Amino acid sequence: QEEEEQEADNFMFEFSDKPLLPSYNLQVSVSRGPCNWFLFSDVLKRLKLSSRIFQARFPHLEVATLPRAEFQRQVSLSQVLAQEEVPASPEPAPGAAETVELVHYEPELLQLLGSAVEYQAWSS
Amino acid sequence: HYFRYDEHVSLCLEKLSSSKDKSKAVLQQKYVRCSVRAQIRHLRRVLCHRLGLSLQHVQILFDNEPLPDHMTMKQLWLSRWFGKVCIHH
Repeated sequence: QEEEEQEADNFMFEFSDKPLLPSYNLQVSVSRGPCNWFLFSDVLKRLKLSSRIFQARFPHLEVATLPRAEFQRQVSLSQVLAQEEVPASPEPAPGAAETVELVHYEPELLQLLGSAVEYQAWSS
Repeated sequence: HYFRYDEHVSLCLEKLSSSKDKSKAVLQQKYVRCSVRAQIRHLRRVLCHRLGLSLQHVQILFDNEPLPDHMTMKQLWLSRWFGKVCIHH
């Protein structure tokens, strides 16, 4: 717990030799402030895993669901997301899922994705 | 501060090449993501650590212009918008 608090107070830098998967700052429930998420489908594609295998192998990595319209509303409010990073089509294609699946942005997942993680204290 | 919940920015760092010096450290992992509240000085320190260089040898540039140490990533993003950030050492 103490270690977690220490890390929360530092800046985390993610480094990769591959272009980064987009991450989204989202509030997924009213009882919890905004935090960072990947689209689960992006992560599965990069790792070449099925959802079932991912969740069996990494049961501690948090997966959440958000209505698609709510996801798009929150993403469109971002000042720093380039518009081309915002997933397209406010009207989902017929038959498309009404929800988006998300996976929580955290150091262990970044390492699975091949990124290196470094911390830097604010005061340094 | 709880920076971990902050919105992110993603950067792509390109080494500013000078044809004279071939012995420069190579930046393998040039794609970087961090909090919008991180400052240029934090990025400089992280890069120095990764490249094994001292602070005075790493400069972060945008359009060949050194960026001020206390500029945050959000300020950088909003003022320069799309484009590349270069490092020069």
